Amino acid sequence: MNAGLNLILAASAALFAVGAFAVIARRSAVLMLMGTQFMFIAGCIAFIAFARFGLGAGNATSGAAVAIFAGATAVAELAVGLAMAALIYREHRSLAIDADRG
Amino acid sequence: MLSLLAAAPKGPLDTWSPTLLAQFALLLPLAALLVILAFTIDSRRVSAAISIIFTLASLICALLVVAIEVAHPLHLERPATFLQFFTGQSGAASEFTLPWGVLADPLAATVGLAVVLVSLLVQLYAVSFMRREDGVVRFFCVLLFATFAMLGVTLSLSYFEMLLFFGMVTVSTYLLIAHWWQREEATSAATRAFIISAIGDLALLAAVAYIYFRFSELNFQTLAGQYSGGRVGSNGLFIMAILVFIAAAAKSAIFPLHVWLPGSAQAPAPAAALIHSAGSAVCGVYLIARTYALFHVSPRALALLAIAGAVSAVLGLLWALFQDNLKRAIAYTTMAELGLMLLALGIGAYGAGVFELFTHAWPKALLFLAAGVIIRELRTERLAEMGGLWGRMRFTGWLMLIAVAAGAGIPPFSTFWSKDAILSKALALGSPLAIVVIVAVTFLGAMALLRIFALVFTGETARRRRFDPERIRDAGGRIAFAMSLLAILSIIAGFRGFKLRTDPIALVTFPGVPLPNSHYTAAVVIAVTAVAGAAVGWLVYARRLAVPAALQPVRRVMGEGLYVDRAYRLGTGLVLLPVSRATEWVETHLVDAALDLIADSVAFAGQPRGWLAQVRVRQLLIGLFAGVVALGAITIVLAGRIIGKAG
Amino acid sequence: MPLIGALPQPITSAPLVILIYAVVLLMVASALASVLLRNTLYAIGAFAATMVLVALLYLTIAPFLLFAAQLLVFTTVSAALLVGLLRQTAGLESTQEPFSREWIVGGAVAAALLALLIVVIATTSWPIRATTSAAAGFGATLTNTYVVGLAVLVVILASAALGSGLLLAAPTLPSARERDRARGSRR
Repeated sequence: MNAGLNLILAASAALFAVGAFAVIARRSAVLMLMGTQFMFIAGCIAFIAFARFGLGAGNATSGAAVAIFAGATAVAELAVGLAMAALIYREHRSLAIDADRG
Repeated sequence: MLSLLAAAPKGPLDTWSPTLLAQFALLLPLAALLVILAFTIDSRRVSAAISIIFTLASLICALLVVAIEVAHPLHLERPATFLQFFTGQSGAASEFTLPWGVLADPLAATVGLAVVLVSLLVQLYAVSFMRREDGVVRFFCVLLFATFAMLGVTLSLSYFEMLLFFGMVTVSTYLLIAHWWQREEATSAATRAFIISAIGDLALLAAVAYIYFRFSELNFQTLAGQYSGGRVGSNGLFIMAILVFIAAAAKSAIFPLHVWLPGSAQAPAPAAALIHSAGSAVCGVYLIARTYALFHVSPRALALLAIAGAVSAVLGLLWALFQDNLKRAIAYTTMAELGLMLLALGIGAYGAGVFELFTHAWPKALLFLAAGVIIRELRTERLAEMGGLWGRMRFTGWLMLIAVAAGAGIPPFSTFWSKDAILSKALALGSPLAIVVIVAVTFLGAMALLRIFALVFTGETARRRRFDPERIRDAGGRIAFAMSLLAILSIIAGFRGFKLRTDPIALVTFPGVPLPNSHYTAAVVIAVTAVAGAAVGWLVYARRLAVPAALQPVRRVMGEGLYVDRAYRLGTGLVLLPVSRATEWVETHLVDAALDLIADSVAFAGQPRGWLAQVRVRQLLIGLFAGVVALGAITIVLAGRIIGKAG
Repeated sequence: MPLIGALPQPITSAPLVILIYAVVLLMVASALASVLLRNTLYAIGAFAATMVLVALLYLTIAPFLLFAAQLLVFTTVSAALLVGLLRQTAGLESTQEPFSREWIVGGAVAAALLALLIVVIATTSWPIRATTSAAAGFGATLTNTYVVGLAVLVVILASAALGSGLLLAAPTLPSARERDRARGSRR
């Protein structure tokens, strides 16, 4: 038994699916953004997996660099998204995305 | 100690390497600044103590660097880089690399030592001088920043790094001059200094761009061998030299970019001392000394240096003779000295010019510090209201006398030796114009400095309302200590051990430029001229000889600085004002309008109308993801079929 | 140090394999927990735990810098942002979400997505390339080859920070206050 490309890619896919579920199913804006974070991280893990198991150790740095850039972009997007969620809360007193509006 | 250093290994990454010590010397003021900003910004005493301790440590490093350089005179220093940027894949040798680091060769070591030592003494002085003021911590922070910026300029190893530190020097000059920002003259003088320094930075940026464009290289040491290689024609080299010269002229107050220097007298005395002796005013001269390889291959550039330096020197002294403000008079003599340094570099007296930079720093700093004490005690800045201090402030009087003698070039004080070396080179060249200019500058310089001394210390203290001369006290404590150290340096800093290993001029050499031999004629001429100038100054000003009526208009014109200021203001009003109105129109009607349009469109999109408002978000999301899954499945099935059919 | 010209191999040493399996399973479990928990605060806690487990995964297969960055920066920043927002808006104690129909539908869609991805992963033979050059240090590569990307990233992060700060402070800015005062408050 070994840990190779398929295992890590499967983990990444699972995380991505979990993130998708969070985005669809949860109402709170905070949790939806959390779901998008999961999806980003899943992408990062996939890059790392390919860099380590697919392209050879000499090229691992490219995958890691993309992973860092993607992760940092995810955090930036989280910041902006949460700021907008705060504004929604100020308007409607609720964090629910699809509350009935008058 | 010297034998220990003689056994030291060479190379940037070994211990005892001068480059490592130079890095410490560079980073210690910055570290002090950060420590003060982070931890001790509320306490004056602790901040001042930290500042002085770190500067002292930096000074020890600088001294060690100089000692190592003296012990290994023939060793070509390699720079140490602590950061490298390069484009393209790693390992490709043809890519452009931009190293950031320090280069600690004799030139950098000498000037760096001057910078740190002046900074330390100025800080010692300032602890006592600014004791009762607000903003003391801010002053020390700016002093540390200025020291760091100047050290960075001295230790730069590429044009680009020099540009960065030039910008920092500009900012630090602005902050130093505008320290008493509540005064309107101080802020306008600071703004003027900033603008002119920024012009110099722009010129240096243009130089960097052009040099990179032609040579694809920005490192000083690498470029030094490439200038004469024939890759760039003499016109191209001259253009590069002109751009570098403009940058240096803006920083070193060469006519006509000198208008910021008198305004720098608005800075507090310790700040002015730093700026003029080892601060931004010598940045320009240092830039020329560092890039001398470029000027050496372009004789036209050397001629430009010499002419500009000569004009600045003579004009500066003529103006200095007619100034009524004590600090401005000293400032104009600085302008003259900087012009003299440039003249020295222009006629090929490389070591002598750099040595002049070194020897001139001490008397100039001492002059400003003494002026600070005098102004504080007399509560006036005008020379017409001073006088008769010899009886009351004897100690300061002696110190100022030493400073004046050292600045004038009277043997055996410091600048005598360097001026002697410059004149020797001029004599060796046989150029009558240079000889005449140097002699005239020495004469007038001595006269101007003696004028200052005579007007302040001899005669009768002018009677003024609400000012009691009995309350004048002499300087004491730390102020006296700092000034005395500067006086000692003014006396001994010039000694050239002829034909010994410690000859400073032999230390700072430029390959291809022969060392000037000291002609005895040069020494005698300088000594005689300086003493004669001092005597004339004493005769005229100690007796308070009235200016004859025929010279009154000359006096007014000279006092106004030949109306250069008014010319600048006129030009600015004619050219800059319409341009700035045009750009304001563009900004209001185009840029702001575009931004408003974007913001309004976003606001419009955020309030959906009609059917868009009825959409449920989660339904959308479900549809989106389900659609993606469906599309993916269909694509895979179809692709499998297509590949199966093809394969 | 990998030999130049060698193909990358999967990890075969038993303890490491067991560790990786454990980390992966825990990671997925805590992610599931974080999306299924109804209390928002616990969900964010589970999210932080997932991020830490991702960092552990990086420790085994990625350069060390990535592990450190993930752990120290991304985890803490994300968690802090989420918790901070929660505090500012609904409060930390009272957040419970009702179980709704969309959970089932969402679960179905997510399961379909997962199935699709697993099928693709399992049936593709991924290209494997040999090691071509000695690995340069990751930090050195970041500042040399990817220096432009690094600069852009700094700009992105700075503008995100500035933008979100401004968004949050918008009602308190002078121009907004004047507009409200002129219009008269509607609430």
